[in-house]
Amino acid sequence: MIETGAVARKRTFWQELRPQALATNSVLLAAVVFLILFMIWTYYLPGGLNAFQIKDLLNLAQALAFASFGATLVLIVGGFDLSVAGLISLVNVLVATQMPSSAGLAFSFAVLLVALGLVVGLINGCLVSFLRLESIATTLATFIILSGLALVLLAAPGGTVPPSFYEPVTGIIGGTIPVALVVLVLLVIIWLVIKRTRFGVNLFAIGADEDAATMNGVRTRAVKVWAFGVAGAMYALAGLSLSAATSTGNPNAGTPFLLTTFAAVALGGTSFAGGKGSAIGSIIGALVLAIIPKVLFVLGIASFSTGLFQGLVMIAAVLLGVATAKLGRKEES
Amino acid sequence: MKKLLFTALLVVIPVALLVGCGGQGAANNGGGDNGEGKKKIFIALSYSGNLWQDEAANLAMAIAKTPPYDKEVIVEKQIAGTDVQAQISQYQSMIAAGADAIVSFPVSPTGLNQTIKQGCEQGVKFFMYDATVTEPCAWNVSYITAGTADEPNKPYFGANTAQWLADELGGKGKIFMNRGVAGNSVDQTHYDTAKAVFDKYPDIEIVAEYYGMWDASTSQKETAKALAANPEVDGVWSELGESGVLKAFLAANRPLVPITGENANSFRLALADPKMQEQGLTGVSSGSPPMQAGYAVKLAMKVLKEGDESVPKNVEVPLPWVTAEDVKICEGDKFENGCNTFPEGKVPDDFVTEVFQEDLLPESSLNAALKGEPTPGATIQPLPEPLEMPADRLSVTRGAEG
Repeated sequence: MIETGAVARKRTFWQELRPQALATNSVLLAAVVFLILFMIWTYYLPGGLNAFQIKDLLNLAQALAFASFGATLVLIVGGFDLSVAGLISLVNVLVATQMPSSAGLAFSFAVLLVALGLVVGLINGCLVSFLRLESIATTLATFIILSGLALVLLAAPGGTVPPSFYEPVTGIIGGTIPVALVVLVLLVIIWLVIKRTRFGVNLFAIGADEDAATMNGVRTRAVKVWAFGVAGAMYALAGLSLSAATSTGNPNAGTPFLLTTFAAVALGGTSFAGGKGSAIGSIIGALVLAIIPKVLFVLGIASFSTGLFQGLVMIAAVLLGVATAKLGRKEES
Repeated sequence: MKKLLFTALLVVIPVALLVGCGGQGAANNGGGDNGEGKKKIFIALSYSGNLWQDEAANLAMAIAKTPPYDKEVIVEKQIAGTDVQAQISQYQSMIAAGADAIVSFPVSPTGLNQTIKQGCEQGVKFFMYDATVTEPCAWNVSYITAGTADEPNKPYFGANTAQWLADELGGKGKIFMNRGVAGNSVDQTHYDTAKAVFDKYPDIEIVAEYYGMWDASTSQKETAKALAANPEVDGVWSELGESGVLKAFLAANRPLVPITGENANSFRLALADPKMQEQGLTGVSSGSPPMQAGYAVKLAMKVLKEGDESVPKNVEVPLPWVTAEDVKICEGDKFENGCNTFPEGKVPDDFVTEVFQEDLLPESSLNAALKGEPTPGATIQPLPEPLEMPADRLSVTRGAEG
């Protein structure tokens, strides 16, 4: 429960790793799951681990990490944002069809797309908080509109992403540090900062009890609008990351994210009921989902079980979430 | 305390499972690199649970296990899922595992290029069946641009079936178009080449156009809606899902019309059924043959044995073409007397019949397509010279820069 800031009991490192402590710290639990999977993967990996394999893994996980970071913000304030898949498709298609090929212009264009994501998110936020529309219904509509736009812009997979954009983004610095690793570390830092700002504190307050937050002077509507806005910017970043990883456009590119985003979030222990969660957990959740197929592959497990296994890990994570909540309550009382 | 125990179990069980599997996996891996100098081939599917995909993969597996290949290669099948990143990850794992060849149904024509290129640089041979990729180092084995065996110079499934329908309708009438999956490059090629034909006939009016998702039940639902909205319809151009189109006509009690579609077994049976013909059904069964996957394995083996130059990079598979009079029921499970359809009840309605091909895949059998087991007694037969795709069709499969 460290993410709520309510329980600030100090534990030593080893105490944190005791089963009971693990059960109450879902982020740490997700991290332990990832570490176990990572160790199995590297143990059986033919030829052993090298920086390029880590780069490949992180490049695969990065788009999902951005997407689930965004979704986490909305879930914490008690909303549900399906526009993630539509925005990723649209950004991917825009990159593949419109991005200028010179490096400077390409990155300016990328910034423009993040701004577009922000605007779409703010619109979602306004519809949800000012018109008091149901967030699932509203963002489902946005998802459909954005996917339709993507199909209008690019009827079938195609287009190209300029190498001046995808090469630096998916590359490896000095042959040792993958760019994607730097990005993930930055994301973690961004979350730690957000959490400590008034905006971050208010996110949790609204998600836990909106009326109480209002009575305490939190401008709930504005905070919610911005939660959706920042989430939109994150989805645009996910679209950019996906475009770099696949170096092509696909009007349906975002569709798989409709499921995997929330799977990653659930794995990271963020509550779908609002008020509790951590973007770091979601990032680790994204890493877990990216590494599962690789682990199953090196173990020689029949591949049709990938989905089954991902599902089982998810159910286990959700059950753990439930158990965590109950245990947490017991501990506090 | 109970809850604590429960939680602990939740943690322990998956870990135990993993460790258990780890032991097994180690054994498998050990068996894989058994030092007998066997080549390693991976069959890389995108998704499963669709008869076409399963039959294709089964045929690929069956061929790889047919003597003498069974002594020469280790073959493993993997299913990635429908998203590009999953298949990128799949290819990466196969390359890292020391694949000699990857025979695959690619989920994207362009999204896998970076990964394929990396693999090629490490000496992996990529063979794509049915769907194609634009990366030039990969081999494409596909019917997508092909003409029929009799008329190889008339390309494209879409154009051929549209021309047949236009001729059947005497160049005028109201038609439906049942497309595949929106935003898919194969669907786009079929549609564009068909539309180009229909556009030449000012009296042919496309009154409804919808996406049947290459699925019989979706096609039936969408066709039923189109029928309700259009009291008059003279013909249907359809991609995979044609059996659903026919069912929608029957369910709505509407007179049957000419229908062009792909290779569902029940559709072929209907075409040859005198009762259906009396109600007005004519049509042609064409489109994607699952045997391509088995053929791709044979070509991959040829390259592994005889070198890159032995197989052209762009191989065409002839377009199947079966009208009512061409329907021939198979008596047994093997290819005999040019048979191309199975009797009712022997296979599922939507079984895709094109699992045989006399010249390219004589090793096939029904069991090979249904279960992935080699045909008893069959041995790999020599291949005729592969049909190379004409240069003017490359823009479709290899893109602008191809």
